[in-house]
Amino acid sequence: MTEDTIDDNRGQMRVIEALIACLLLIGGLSTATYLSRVSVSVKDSSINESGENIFDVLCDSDVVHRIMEGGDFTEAQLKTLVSTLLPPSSVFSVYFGSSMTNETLLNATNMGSDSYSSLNAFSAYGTFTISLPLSQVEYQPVDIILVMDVSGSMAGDKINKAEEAAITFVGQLNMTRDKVGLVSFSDEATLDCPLTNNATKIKSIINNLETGGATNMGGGISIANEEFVTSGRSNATWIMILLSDGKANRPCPHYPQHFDSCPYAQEYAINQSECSKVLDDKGVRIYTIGLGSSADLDEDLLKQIAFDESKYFNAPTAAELSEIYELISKDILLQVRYDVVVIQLYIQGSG
Amino acid sequence: MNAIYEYVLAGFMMFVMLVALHSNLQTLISDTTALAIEEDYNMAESLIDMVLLSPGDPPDWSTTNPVLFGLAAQETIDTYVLDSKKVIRLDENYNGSTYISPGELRSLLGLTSGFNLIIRITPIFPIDIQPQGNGKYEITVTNHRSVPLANVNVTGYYVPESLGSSSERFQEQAITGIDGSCTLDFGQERTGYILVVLADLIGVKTMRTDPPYLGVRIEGGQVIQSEVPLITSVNYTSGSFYGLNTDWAARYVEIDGFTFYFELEVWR
Repeated sequence: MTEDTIDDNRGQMRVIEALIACLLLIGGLSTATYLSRVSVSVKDSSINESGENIFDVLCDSDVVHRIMEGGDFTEAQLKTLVSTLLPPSSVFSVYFGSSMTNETLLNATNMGSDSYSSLNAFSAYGTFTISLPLSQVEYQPVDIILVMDVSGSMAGDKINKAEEAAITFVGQLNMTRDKVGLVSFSDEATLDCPLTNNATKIKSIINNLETGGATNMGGGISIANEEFVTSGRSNATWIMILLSDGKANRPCPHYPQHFDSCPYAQEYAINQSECSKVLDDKGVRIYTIGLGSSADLDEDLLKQIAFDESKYFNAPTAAELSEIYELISKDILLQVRYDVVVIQLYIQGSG
Repeated sequence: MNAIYEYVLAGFMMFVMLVALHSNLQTLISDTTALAIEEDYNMAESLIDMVLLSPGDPPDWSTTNPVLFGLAAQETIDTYVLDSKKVIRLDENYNGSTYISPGELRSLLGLTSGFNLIIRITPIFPIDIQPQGNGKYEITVTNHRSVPLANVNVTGYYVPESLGSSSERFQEQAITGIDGSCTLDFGQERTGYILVVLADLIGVKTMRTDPPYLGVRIEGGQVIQSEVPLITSVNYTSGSFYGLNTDWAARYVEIDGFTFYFELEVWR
């Protein structure tokens, strides 16, 4: 090997060494740049903060109600709202769905078909429980039996106001579709009017109720049950509204020891109401109204008969009866849709 | 000959290295700036959440002097719901309650005198009311960035200022067009009447009155009296000039059922 060849080889080695050093330097700088970018992305928490805040605005009862109600502009309005809430140039996708029916209530996005990086993005998932009154037209017909206390204590203003409130209540029903019947109870219970859609007839019977005797609550429920089985329509919801101003004291094998209130009569009323709940497999929805002060009533019994405490109402005076009947009519005629709405939000910041 | 190649190659390598170094340094510098901004941003972020998520101490301080500042309403479990009686105390022009001075607020927030801050509260949909005469009003709804909003449900309540039940009340509804505006026509001008406008975009609401700053609210579709005037906007500042390193954070908040954009800027 000559001197020149050795020099040439040394020169080539130096070139290769320099090239390797250069590549290492560029590689090192690129790695440092990449790592610093990752660090910045991880540290950029602002998108999460604003994302959570926007999610908060969307998880609002009014917003969810409006989305469930739907309408021509709902999707456009939701898009406008989310675009307003987000910084300009952000992209988003928002989904509202029912977890009960798996139905998509609304889906809005301003994203194109491009794929987006997961960096600088926020996604949230939440649920919102909602109850929404639906309109009356969607309802199936109702068969209602009014079970009214006509014992001696109901005489005077109480029965007058009770009659007035019941007549107003009948007036709120759609008698082309619904039916009403009347049972009254004192010592015994009687079916004063079978289920009918003749509003004039039932109003007239309600108007002519006579008072006297004790309180056979169980008897009233029993007669109403029989009438539902005999004349109730299979496609109708069966409803019983029981009004009383006293304590159940008939039938009572221990009379007169148990004069005001009789455990046997209470037990009988509870048994009859339990029969109502499973009547003809579909059951009867029972509302109870206690008229007068709590001391004069057996509120526990009335709550037990109603099965659900929210279906028991207390009217301290007869003047409150109209309001209570109105509440009941709303509860009967306005079905409420309960749902758990799933909300998903994905947003990606502009930079 | 080889020496010439070596010099050419060395020159080329130096050029490549300089170009690579330059571009990488640019990125590193911008990333470092972003990190510095992020650190400052965290301060405004922490402060805004302290102000908006805490009711302060005592929690019902709206009529007393707070020991700790927080605007959250006491009686709610929802986040970012503010107490209007507390917010109104940041409004210098309102005489009904004691104004909290910027110096006082600084110490309540635990900031030293070197810090300054701005709190801006604006409705999410600012409403502009332009009377056209004969009981006709042009209503324009924009977002807080002044972009006109279409498809907003606008309800106008034209009611006597006394809100007495003896006088007739009027109500008109319209939906904003592409330019964010719509017209409410009440037929004729009535003396002693006020206009209350409610803008509702899919359940998110803003309200405005003409004339402004009236103590009224809308509940259940009715205009009712309120002891606290309607907050139209709040611009609260502790300094007249900006310093360097301004930190900014913003949130959407609810005050009396209406949505507002709450901004906080801090600098020293």
